[in-house]
Amino acid sequence: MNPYRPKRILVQEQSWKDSTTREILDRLPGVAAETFSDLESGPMEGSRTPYPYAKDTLILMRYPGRFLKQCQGSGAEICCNYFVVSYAWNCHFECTYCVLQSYLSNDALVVCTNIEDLLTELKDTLEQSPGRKFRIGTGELADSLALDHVTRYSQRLVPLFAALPNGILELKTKSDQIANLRDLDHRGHTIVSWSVNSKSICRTEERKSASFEERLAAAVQCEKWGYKLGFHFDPLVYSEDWEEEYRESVREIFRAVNPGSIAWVSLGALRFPPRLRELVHKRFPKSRVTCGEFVPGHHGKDRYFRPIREAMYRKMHSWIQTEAPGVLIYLCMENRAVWEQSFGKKPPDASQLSDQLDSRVFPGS
Amino acid sequence: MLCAMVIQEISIKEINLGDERFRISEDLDSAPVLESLREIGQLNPVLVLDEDAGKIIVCGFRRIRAMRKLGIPRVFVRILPGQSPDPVRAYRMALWDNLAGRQLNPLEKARFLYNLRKNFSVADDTLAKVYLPLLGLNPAENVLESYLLLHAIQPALRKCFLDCRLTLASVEAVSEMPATVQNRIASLMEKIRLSASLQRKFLGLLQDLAAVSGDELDVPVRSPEVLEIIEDSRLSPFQRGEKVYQFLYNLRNPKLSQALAQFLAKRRSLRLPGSIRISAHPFFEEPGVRVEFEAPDVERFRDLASALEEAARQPELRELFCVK
Repeated sequence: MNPYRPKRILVQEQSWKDSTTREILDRLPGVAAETFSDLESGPMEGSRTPYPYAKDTLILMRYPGRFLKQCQGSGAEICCNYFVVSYAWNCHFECTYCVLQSYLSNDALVVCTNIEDLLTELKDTLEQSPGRKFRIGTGELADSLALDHVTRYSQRLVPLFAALPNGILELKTKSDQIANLRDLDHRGHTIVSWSVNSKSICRTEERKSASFEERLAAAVQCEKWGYKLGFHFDPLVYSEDWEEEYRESVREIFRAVNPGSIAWVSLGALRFPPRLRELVHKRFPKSRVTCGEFVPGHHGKDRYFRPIREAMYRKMHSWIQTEAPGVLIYLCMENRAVWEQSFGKKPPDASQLSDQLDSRVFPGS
Repeated sequence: MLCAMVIQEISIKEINLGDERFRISEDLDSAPVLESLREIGQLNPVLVLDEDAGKIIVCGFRRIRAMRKLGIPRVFVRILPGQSPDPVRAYRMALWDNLAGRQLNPLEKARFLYNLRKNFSVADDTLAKVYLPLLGLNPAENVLESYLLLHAIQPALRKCFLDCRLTLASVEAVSEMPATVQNRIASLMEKIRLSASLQRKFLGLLQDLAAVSGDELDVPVRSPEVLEIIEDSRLSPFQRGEKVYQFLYNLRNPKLSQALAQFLAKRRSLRLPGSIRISAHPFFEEPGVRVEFEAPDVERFRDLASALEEAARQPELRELFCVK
């Protein structure tokens, strides 16, 4: 995997007061940096360059709002009660199915420099609710580790969570950028998770992210450093050969890592907003991700016809159970009927899933 | 400003009709212009550029065409002065002259942009920033790209657009396809009619099917099933359009179509009165069925309830809930 290196950096004027701005620039010697005063009237206006070039631009700016939010899946029939913090937006991996293509208003990568505000907000929020458990991910609007060689934010976040008894940090990634996690005193409060797929999907639809083998090697390394691991088979992409291909991925993953080190495994079939289809056709004419049989589903997203999803979940569940009995598997953004049909048993209630996930990671739960 | 220019009456033969560098109008045969000239003659001189090869029309293509049809031998022209008049400036004059009287259609806007680029070497950046807003378009490179593609579409597709059989969005989508595909789509549109929203879905299905098969976009509409539909004279063009769309939809969604067909068959097998409506959740996304009926009086209620009770005893009922 090639680490991200921008061609130009745009620094919001107010960001210069954050020490992280200078640190990030120091890690990118030779890259021209310009200052702008306001994002609306500044460098972004009129400078929207066509895909894929604009991702060469890195914007450093302050985020004035709250960082901690509930996951967009919250409120679903079966909800895992997850929280997200977003300190970076966009990703250079160019996965063909990525929803960020249609979701974000500009193509540049953005990193928030007021990380101190984020750390303070997290600390205050968690300390104010000591009886409540928080599982918090950073991989909603960006890959958790893809820019870590530039930001080193993991070195700020992991120790913070180690000191918060009611907080678990999940770093969700398709990268192999784990160097900064080494030697951190995480105290079991950080889960390093990989979004994984079949080798063929990794190769063809996730071309700029780490290969399947690189991701797995990174996971094995993190396991050796004592981190608990997560695996997210999301999105599962249907193809004629999907069974053979995913079976192989499952076998390799669960034979490479100790099932006892796995906090959880999630399954989620491909889904996307309808407008993404046109973008995929335009940007990635060779992509096959739009080839399945899709129907309109929850949250206005297209998803595979229900029996197709259920068949995929059922088989994945069975393969994973065979390789790693007892590992916690859950479905992302699916209803009770799909859970029942896929796993052959009554699904957990709304709060039960959250409790089950908590029990995997919070000591004494 | 045109004040320094000379107005002359010249023979229409002096005009080089083959040079269309400054043309904007899509359709040069304008009935209102012809009628106006026939009734009251030429009021406004045609603007021309004097070149070695003859006098080149800058504004007035439709007037000259109509005058030739009417057999008018002499024409008033305003000749642009100077040894080397700026052609871009001249073309802007043509644009403003057109805009003063009417709105340009997208094909005319496309022609204007294409001519500026090809004939007068105007850079893409200038086209996007200066000329797109002049035409009422968003000053973005992708808009320019779309319009340049639009100019290059096949004549049959142009006709489809001008006849309102395809929307601009549909034409833009097809404009990226090879000429043969454009012509086949245009030919299909001679036989069927699709609403604007159905056109979008129809082209989306073709794109998806092409992505699945790796074939050209129009391969599914060359199938015997589609040919049979479009040749069915009992159907109106809109009905043919609906049927072709449905055929493509089933092709694109075989499992869903099969599930729907099975559901309908099972529902029929229950032999319920027509006033009892049983429907599945849209796309079978949720399990279960919805049962509705209306009873105007107690007797009817009892009849319908009995029919439902009878249906409840049938083994086929269970299959109604089973989506495969």
